[in-house]
Amino acid sequence: MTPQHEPETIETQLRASAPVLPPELRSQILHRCRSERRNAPVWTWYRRWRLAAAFATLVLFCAVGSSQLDAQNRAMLTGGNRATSARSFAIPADTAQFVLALRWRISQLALLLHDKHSG
Amino acid sequence: MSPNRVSRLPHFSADPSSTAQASPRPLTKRVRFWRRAGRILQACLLVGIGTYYAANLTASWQLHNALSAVEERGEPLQFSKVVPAFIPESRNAAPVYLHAADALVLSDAEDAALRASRGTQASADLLAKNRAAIELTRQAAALPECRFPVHYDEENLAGILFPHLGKVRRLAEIVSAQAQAEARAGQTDAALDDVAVIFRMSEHLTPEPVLISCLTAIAIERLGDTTLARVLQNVALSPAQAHAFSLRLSHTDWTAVLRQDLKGERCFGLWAFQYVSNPIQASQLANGTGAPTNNPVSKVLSVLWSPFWKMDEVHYLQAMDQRNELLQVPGASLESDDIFMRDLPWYAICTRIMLPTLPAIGKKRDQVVDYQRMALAALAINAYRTTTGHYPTDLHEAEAAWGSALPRDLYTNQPFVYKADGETMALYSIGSNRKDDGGKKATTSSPSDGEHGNPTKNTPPAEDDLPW
Repeated sequence: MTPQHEPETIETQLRASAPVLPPELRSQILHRCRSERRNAPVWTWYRRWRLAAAFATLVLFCAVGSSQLDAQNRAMLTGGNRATSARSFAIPADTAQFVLALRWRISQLALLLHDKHSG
Repeated sequence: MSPNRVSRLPHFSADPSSTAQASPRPLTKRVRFWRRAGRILQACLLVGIGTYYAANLTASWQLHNALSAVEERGEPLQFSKVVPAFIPESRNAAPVYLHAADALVLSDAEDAALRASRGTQASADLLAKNRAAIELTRQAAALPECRFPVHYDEENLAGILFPHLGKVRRLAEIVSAQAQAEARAGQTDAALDDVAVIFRMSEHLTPEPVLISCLTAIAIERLGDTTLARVLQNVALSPAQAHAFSLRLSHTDWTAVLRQDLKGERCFGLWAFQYVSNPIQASQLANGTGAPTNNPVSKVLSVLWSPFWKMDEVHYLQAMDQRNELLQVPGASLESDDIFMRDLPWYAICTRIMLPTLPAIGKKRDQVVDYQRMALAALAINAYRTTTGHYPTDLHEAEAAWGSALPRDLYTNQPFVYKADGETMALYSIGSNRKDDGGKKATTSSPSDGEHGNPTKNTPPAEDDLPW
């Protein structure tokens, strides 16, 4: 996610591009930007999706972790092969890597949805 | 700044007058209420989902640790690992016992009378018509090993049947009656042989990895002790005979048997946690109402209950470990089941169903161990009486004549209480209340309280001596 959607960043960019704008317009824009920043809702779409991605990651981590442990427990209780039970879930061997990759994908999805919404 | 970028600025317009927006249409109260309710529901749902998955992971982790701890100790987790191995037919006593049970001619009334009198009122006719069964039982007891054809490989372990236990017990009762009749007829060696047969029958049941077999084996050994006591009232053993028979007394290590059976019970409990997965199914399993319900409602309940179920399993393993450790010391008093169950968390429903009543079992084990010890003292007293013509005045005299130290009372680590008045004698242990009640054993206070008072209650019975 690039930061240009944040009001303060717009303000900064306006300052940088000030010479090409008439002073009156620049003043109005800055005023408007400050006003927008004051009135900006706390739950922006971006923040919502970021939180949703974190929550989904956490839930997924718990679900995958407990499934793995359950498979191992079941193998212990039934005398099955633990390695086979773990493989049956068809996820990468390194669960942490898998979860991180999944989190990145969810972030990407959140970004796409945000752009679609704001565009 | 590119025009595109400028156009995406929020509410930007070059004309200040155009920045005023048309005010949105005000929301009605009802819409605001439902929006708010929806948000609260959403939040609750998210919190619920998060809590569920976090709890599930924690429970899985704790269960994994508990199971790994058992596995690291080299103890079995599957019932198939505790099943006794198959043995060759020529060495197996079980088929012969089953033939003997088939040859038994005993009506229900005769069986009830025999059990009530512990063999003292068996008529000569009854023994005569069961001669074949008694002979087969003797042959079976002489064989070195025993494995009854139990279907341990059943998918539903709760459905495994042990019909042979009742049969073996009935055979032991008829052999006891035969031994007492032989003692009354002065056939000392035959009577002692039959007492040894009863002890051997008890020993033959000990390899079975379930507590019900252990309890039946204990009951049969207690019957052997009772039979020996009655035989010794009627026969006079020389010191050589008494010493020879002391080697044929039961030497079963009941603590080891109980330890092995508790491993089997734990495997059975763990199987139950796999076979059913919610409290409704567990109650169906406990009530024996056929296969547990597996409809969609039950499946949803199983999923939602999953973290509690796993924690229940963890508590079951901890409870079995804790109680098993306490059972390792014969004579140690166990916390009553009532107190133990009360301290379990509310969700440990399956643990409450599956946990065996270990204080009651421990008490029975202690009693049979104490009687094992008393049997030796009784032999020494009988041999002393044969040699001198009268009972010893105290146990030290009998001990001196016996030539080696006599076992002590399990509960006090002191010699058993012994009283003699020349013609009669009383030998007893003071029992688990560690109080001399004059040789009076516990009385049954209610039909559900069992043979010697209710061992699951915390209060010890007022009188619980164990008379020989």
